[in-house]
Amino acid sequence: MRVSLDWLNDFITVKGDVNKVQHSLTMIGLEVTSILDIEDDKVMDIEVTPNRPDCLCILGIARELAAALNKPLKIPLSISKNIMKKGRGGGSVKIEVSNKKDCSRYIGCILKNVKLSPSPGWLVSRLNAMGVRSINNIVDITNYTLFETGQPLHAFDFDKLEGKKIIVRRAKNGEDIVTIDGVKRELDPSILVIADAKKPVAIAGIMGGKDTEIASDTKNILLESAYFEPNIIRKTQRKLGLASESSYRFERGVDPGMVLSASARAQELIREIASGRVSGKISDIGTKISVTKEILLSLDEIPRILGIEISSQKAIDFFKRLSLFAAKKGKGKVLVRTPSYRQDLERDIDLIEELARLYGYDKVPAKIPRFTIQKTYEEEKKESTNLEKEAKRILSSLGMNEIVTYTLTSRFSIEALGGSFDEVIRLKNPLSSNQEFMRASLASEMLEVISWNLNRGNTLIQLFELNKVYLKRSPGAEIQEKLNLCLGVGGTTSGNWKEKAREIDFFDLKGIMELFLTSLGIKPYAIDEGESFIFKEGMSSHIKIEGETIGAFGKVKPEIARKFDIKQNVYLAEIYLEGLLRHVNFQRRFTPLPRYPSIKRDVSMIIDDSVTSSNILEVLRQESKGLVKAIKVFDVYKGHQIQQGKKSLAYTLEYRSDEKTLKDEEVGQIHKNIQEVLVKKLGAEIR
Amino acid sequence: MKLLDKLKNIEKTAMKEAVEAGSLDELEQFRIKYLGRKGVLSSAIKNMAHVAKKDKPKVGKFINELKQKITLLLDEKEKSFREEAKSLFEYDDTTLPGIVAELGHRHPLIRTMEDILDIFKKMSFKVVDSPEIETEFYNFEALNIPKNHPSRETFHTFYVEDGEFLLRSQTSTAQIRMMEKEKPPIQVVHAGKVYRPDAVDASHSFMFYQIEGFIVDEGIVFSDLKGVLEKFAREYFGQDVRMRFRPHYFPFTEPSAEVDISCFICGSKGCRVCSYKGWLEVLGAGMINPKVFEFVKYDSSKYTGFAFGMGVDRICMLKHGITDIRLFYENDVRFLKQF
Repeated sequence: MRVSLDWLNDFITVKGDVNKVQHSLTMIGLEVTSILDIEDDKVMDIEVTPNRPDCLCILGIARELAAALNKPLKIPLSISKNIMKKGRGGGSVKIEVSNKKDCSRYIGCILKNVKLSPSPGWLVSRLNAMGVRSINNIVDITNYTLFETGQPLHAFDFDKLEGKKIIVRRAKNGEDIVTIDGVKRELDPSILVIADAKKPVAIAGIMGGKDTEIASDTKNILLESAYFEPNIIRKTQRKLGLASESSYRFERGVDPGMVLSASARAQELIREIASGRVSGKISDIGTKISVTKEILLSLDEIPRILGIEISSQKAIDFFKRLSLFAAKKGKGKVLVRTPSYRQDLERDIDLIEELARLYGYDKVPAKIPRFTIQKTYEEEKKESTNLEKEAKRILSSLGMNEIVTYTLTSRFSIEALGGSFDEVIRLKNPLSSNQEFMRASLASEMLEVISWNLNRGNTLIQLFELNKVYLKRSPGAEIQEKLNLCLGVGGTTSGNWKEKAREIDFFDLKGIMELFLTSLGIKPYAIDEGESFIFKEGMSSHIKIEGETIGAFGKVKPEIARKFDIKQNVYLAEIYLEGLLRHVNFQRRFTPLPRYPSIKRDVSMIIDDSVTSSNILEVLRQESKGLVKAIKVFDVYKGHQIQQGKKSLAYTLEYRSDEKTLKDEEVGQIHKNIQEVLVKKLGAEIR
Repeated sequence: MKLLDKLKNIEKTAMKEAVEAGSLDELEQFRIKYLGRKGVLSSAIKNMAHVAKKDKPKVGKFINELKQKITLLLDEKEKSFREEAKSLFEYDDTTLPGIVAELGHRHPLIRTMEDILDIFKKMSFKVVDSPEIETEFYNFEALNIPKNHPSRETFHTFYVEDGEFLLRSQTSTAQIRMMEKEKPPIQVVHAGKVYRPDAVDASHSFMFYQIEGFIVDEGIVFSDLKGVLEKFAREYFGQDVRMRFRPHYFPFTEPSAEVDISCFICGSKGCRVCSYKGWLEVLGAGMINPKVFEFVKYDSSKYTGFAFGMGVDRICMLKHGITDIRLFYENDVRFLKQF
């Protein structure tokens, strides 16, 4: 809310020291977020929290400032004592309130022979400081009083009210009103209106009607000051999408004690500026509600919450600075009576907060609590945290960059990846169709990020995300939040002056997967061919541990990649962390380093294309008599130099025994035997 | 046997000279000296004529072996000289860039989150998990944010289509979840995503990360809150950082505070980042409202507690001078590689 320093000075002497005011207000809970120079004035923008609607006016801000600075308030008598001139002559208005719950008080005051004119300069300037344009002196006075006291007012052209009557009632179905902004609005019984004998003339607490607004020919006015029920105003404001300075205050709750005072203040200003005279008796319908409360504060509670002692005398002093009545009540207790504008004060904790504010948060000493709590909680998930940490460490050491993406996804993405809509969670109020569903897989966002990068000239794609997915196994079933790990690779290696750049392919991802699983202590695991909607046939693998599929990886089908605007080959993996967690093993047992040297022997063969590398590996392992400690493929060739339907493969076998130094002849014998079996079993032609 | 002794001497000097040969040229001279047609070994063979018949095989064998040894040595040395020459020829420009593998970079947001959690872990806080898809009860009611209360308006919320679920708008839900399950004392931190239907721009995102921490025990006071947060601020932002606690309002804490740190960008002189205030708002905090204790059936006359919450995105942006929140979720590799 905007606050003019000049105006504030009417209520509390602060002179021009805007920095001191800014600091004092900020440190008492009214943060001054910016200061503007408007004409000769300083205008502060102040953040008022929702619990303090009483601070949505100059008077409210002045009260807080007076408490902070321990200075007296200067309040016009019309406001503090409701001093009003007696009405002269006749004229009356009949006021009816159909339901006191909707409107607990309604004050109507007729002012006759007002001289409608532009407002004086000072009034225009003050409204300008608040960001409000001057209309005419009467409308300006109602706005002025609103900003000063926080109580919204409305002025009707009294002569245009049918039947000289005001009825506060719910609108009827089919009724409508053209509000002063010129818009015709349909009404219904959820909306509270001010009506004359015939029709609604204002939407209560929000905006007046065009028909009865103050116009150049207005002579006599009806000044309304009322208390409307906050919920009705809020609902109507939402329903009509119509917010105003009035509705903003009514829906947060205005001060019931200000309804009459604000009217008195406006009457005074109308008399002075527009020479309008109160006519007849002021109509005051409803209860003069006394909403003061008594709260008993036990002084022991202060150190129990704040950690500091405040004496009863000091506490009473602080409360008085806040204009609260406070007195000692028995031993160690203080009785506080709250004024009508402090409806936020209900319990002793509210009073302790008031004391803390005045004491100064900055003066409360800081200390470190004794950290004795040594408990484990069910929600801790230590193993999972360790796995996450280790997984991220391994992946970043393999050159993978971590990404974080939005968990909300589009219908398009789910359809593109063949997802089922039965298993995804849809939002009732999405911001856009791009963020309509909670994702059940990390794949689509990974593809989006790959696309973003490839299309911006980032050629090497090595990415991973470890984040939540959201599942609903069937409609109505319990919602589950699970952690998945997604890897995405593609593009070309960066290359350098020694090594040429090359395209990233399936085996790069497979290598990462294998090293990743091994590094997590997972063995044995199997990587089998397996189908997947998003992966190209023949380049689609499932990762299995003890028969359980814990993830899949492969080459994204080009037609799917193209849907994400990716022209290059890209490879993805997605792993369920829960599955991984069941098999991960962080225990590391030391294996003695080899005591005897190893001997390396190569074997090259030409073999049928249908024989796979794993078929060959199997034979090599079986026939090695436990002496082959490592097998490496060092050459694969297919092409015109060999017969069609065949391929050339070359392996290096590392022989070593844990018991003795192997002799050339021993290794030669085994190596020869292996070659014979390769010929016999797999039809290999040894080269 | 005179010749044999002589030959042994020749071997000694030859080996020494071979080792000393420092270039291909010297190596060639060495070859000519020992293996040439008029070389040392050739003349030794000529001298065989003077050797006694019985010693001839022995001397002959020695000469042959010596010849082999020298040849082998020469070949090895020549090879290494040639390789060295080759490598010097190819790579003698040491100003060429080094060869290095690609480094994997951690996302700055997650790193920030982990760094912050680590500080609280050192202060004995336990890290716990809490769901993102929540109910009205955990997100609002139990946090003392009643329906139709003006304070609810500051928490715009995404709702799930079927059922009573919503996407939590703040991590304070973790307080209720924990207190429902555990008896005091409790001392935990929780980090995770929260959602608010705000249109995306440089400083707004409909999804962002928050960290929530709280302690409940007998004897926890506002001074403890100040102490813990000051320790955190010094550890994370630096020993010189100053802190400022301002009264504020949150429905779930009372007294409530907004916490500022002195602007480390301008040294509190005032800059664009701190809106010329000299202070940066980084945290919301307060003593847990007794009304919240009522919802989880804690005895508020016995226990007190404090809670705090912070936006990880904002802290990460401040710390690294990142000016647009969207950079976090675009994941441009050129951005990621800077961290």
